Amino acid sequence: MSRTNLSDAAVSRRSFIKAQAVAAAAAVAGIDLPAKAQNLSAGPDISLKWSKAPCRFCGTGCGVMVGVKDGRVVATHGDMQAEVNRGLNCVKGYFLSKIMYGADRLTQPLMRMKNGVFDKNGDFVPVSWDQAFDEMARQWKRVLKEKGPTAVGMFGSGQWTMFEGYAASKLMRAGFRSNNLDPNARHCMASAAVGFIRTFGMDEPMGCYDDMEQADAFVLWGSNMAEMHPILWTRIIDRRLMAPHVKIMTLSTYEHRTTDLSDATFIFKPGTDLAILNYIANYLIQNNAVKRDFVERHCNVKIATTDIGYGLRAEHPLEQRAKNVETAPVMKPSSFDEFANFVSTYTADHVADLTGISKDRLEALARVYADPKTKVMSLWTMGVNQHVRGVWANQLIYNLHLLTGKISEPGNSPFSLTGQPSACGTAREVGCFAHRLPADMLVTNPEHRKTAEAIWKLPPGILPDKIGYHAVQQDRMLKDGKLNAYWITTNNNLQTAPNTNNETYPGYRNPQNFVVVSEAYPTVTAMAADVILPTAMWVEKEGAFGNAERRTQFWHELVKAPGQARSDLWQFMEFSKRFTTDEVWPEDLLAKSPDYRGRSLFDVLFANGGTNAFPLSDMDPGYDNHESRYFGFYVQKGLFEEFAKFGNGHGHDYAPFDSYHQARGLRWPVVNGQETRWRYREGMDPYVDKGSEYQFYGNADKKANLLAAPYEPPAEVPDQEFDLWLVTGRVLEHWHSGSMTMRVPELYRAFTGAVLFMHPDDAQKRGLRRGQEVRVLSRRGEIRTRVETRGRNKVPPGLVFVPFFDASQLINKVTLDATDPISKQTDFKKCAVKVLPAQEANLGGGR
Amino acid sequence: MRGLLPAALLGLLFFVGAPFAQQTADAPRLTGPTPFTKETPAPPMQRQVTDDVRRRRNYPDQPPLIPHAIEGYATDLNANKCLSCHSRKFTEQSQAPMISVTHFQDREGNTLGGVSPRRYVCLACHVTQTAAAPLVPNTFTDMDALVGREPRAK
Amino acid sequence: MQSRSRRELITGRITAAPQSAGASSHLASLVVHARPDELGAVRAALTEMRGVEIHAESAAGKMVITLETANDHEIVESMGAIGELPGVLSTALVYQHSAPHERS
Repeated sequence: MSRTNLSDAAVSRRSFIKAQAVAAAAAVAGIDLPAKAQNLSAGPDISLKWSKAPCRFCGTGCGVMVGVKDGRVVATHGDMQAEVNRGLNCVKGYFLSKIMYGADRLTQPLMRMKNGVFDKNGDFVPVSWDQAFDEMARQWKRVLKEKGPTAVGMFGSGQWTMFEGYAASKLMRAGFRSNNLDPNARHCMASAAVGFIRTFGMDEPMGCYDDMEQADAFVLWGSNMAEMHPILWTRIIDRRLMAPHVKIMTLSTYEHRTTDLSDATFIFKPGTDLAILNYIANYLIQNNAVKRDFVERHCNVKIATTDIGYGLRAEHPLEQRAKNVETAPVMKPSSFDEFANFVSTYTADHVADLTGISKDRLEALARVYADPKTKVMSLWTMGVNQHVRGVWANQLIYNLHLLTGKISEPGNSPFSLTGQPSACGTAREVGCFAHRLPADMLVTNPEHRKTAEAIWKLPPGILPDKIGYHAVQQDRMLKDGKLNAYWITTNNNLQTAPNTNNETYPGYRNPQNFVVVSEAYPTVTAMAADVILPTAMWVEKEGAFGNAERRTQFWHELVKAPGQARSDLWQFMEFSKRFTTDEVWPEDLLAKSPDYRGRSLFDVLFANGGTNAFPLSDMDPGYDNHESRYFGFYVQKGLFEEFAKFGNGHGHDYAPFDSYHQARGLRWPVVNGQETRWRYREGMDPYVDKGSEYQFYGNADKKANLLAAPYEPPAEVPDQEFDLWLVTGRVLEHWHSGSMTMRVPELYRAFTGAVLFMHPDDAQKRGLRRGQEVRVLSRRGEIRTRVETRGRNKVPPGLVFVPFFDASQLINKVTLDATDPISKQTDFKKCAVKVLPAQEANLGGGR
Repeated sequence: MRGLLPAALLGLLFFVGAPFAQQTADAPRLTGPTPFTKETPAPPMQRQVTDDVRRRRNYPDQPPLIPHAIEGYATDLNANKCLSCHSRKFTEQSQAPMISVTHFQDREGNTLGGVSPRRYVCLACHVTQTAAAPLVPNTFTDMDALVGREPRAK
Repeated sequence: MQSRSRRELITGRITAAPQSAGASSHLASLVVHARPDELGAVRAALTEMRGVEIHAESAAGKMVITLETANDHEIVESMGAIGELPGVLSTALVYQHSAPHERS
């Protein structure tokens, strides 16, 4: 066959066409082509570069393979080698290849200006990065000078990479000396994180996803896994259908896709989950199902401080009435007998009455925990965490597993599911909460601060020792004018915070405040900012996430961010160059450590000899890395290896940085190259001493804490006027506020707009028809939405559900900013509303 | 209750009159109302696409969309309604596309004699569509467009 | 990419002027059905022909081949020649592609 003088491109195109021709003929002939003849994927024209990455969405942390061609992501599929999901993704994961390509992607910094200067009342004008940072630096310095570090703040994210969260933490705490750094994970996992610390002294689950293939019973406490952790749900269903003795029992305040596939469903009145948990503890005690030996050797008993309020503003009558707001976190020592006595009031009769679940069904649920031969996996997410007593609820679940010894072994697993892809890795492990340092350390602990100062090569005494403002408090402080320079990144808080008309929006537009938003798309939050910084997404930067089962997963930069968009990491590091220690550190400290005088924050935080220790030659030559090329050293590696120093040797061990680019993630603690699947158990966790069986070594005495805590009612319950419970949450097809998924046509069309799920009887009683436009109102605000009496969510009479992904139906204008007083996490699942026909009753376009 | 602000009322009238298919008119659905506190009408409910027409997939591995109505199709632990047409057993009668061969593999990649239970929850990956026009265009590029680039004649 | 119908091609209605030798810009794939017992001879003969590449064959005598020629006229001629080979029962054109003339 003659070859010609065609160009390479023409030749390769010809090969492709020839291959197509051959395939067509083979099909006609009914012949299977030998692999060589089937040249379809060998020709350079149609080759794709495949690289691994964790999914951008939920805390499950599925592995995906990302196909890149000509600088664009053109395909993804579930990674068969990833243990989490073995080749499966959910529908959102299958459209990852489209999330970066919404046409309104932000590509230039924008600043509100009038007459060529910044003006909070001006329109957005494209500016250069330099102009944006200059103004930001000017504002930050002004505020720091006028009011000090408590007036600057940052609201970050469990969707930050671990490197970004670590850089932000250093910048805020060590640079600006402010602990006003809180992540949006405050809205999602704070109750769980605090529950872990109060029980075990250390954060994050002791089990892992492998428990799903081992459990005999799954008890889902208010979590809708079918929609919210779909791939983990497939592992549970797989187990259930392959082993018919396995049972799935789901507790919820309404029926949904998860209850549809459950063996038993328990619909309970909102907030009464606490009572059910205490009932089961009571049942265990009454029926000799407690492992006394285990409890004696491995548990302490504590009793909670009660009547602790609802995290509302101090003037609120509920806060005024509550007796122990100040001492809410205190747990007092107690005894097993006291505990038994405490829970004895949670009888079947009482709890059936309170919850609406019948006595024999309650008992059936209790038996699952009581039977020593049944391995139980308890699973929960927002139903338990977004709860005014979320910390107690987390601890009451641990009670059941501690009383029975069903913990830290395959199949017996109280498993707190994580919502966001890196709430664990970034918000919790790296420590982006207002009270945290890396590796579970606390800003209030002088020893911990000393450790951080040493690792960060900082002068002693530099780190601020007071807890900063948490999420809801940041909004209140912005409104009240106490927080004045504010950076929001990788979240859409104006859409997702509670009570936004009254408590969030006013702060963002308060003339005293300067608000910066780093975003990829023009979201509701970005539109309310003063400066918008275009930000790189997902595989447009090298990153790391830590998922719900402690698995740290890395990925490379695969494609370029559009226009001038840059990663958050780049932004923090570049911004730090505009400050010197003289400008932001106190004189007395500089006097004691004069070597630090006059140095740029960039030097001190990001080029301190450790963080810039790794050269560009350490990078994988097959991939780009825009931050490292810009700064001249391997940024992510330097940050990570410094961060790892906090936890290595203390039960938070990570593998060396490079390992994570090879492996499909590793579950910490990684000791001698071995990941840990079950913590606190001899033989499975290298930190447990031989002969001790269990050691909950996060606590000084290596014991876990049982907690006696009562049922206390929600902050706002339905009454005569506002006669319905409002529950908010997500749907499968959309992630959080929809900023990414609503821009993917197939996901948008899969669930096109928020609706108000309502029981048909409730609709009829109010003269409402399916599809009708209605107003849903609370004491705080209202929105217009449409009634849905069918579909995936079947709510009971007296309760309605509205998802929060829709920027045209901002349901958080209606919600209440009550939080768990201990974790400061908002209760998005319980407030009181009424539903009325909209004035211009519009039946909507079609069904 | 005729207490609505004139601006909001005007906005509503405009919205009701505006052609819903226009992308720019719907961008506020992504950026929110201006100002933020303004009350906005609810977008209309959308019609499901049930024409049974197979849509082109964005790339080979994409799970196909569901082009038919699924309302009332219940799946529980005892029966999977989807499989009553799409399983290997029934496709000849139903003429529905058979589930992909990938659905017969277990976690380890072994092919089983029947549908793997890990694939039981069809709706986790396959979704229906409404007739709504996308709110903003998406510039995702189909790989065929990148592969099929003609070299320019000189 | 121009497409021609098989009918046009087979009936010879298209006779493009022969282009410069070496610019093989026309591609076709064919299924050649040969007698199973003469598969070897057919294969040998095809290997000798210019522009022919064999990609697959089955024991039942079906073969998948491609033809690359300078123009449509040559496709028609080659097909004719293949059809005349002893042992060939039939030839069927499946896929045909004519690229715009590419100068090197």
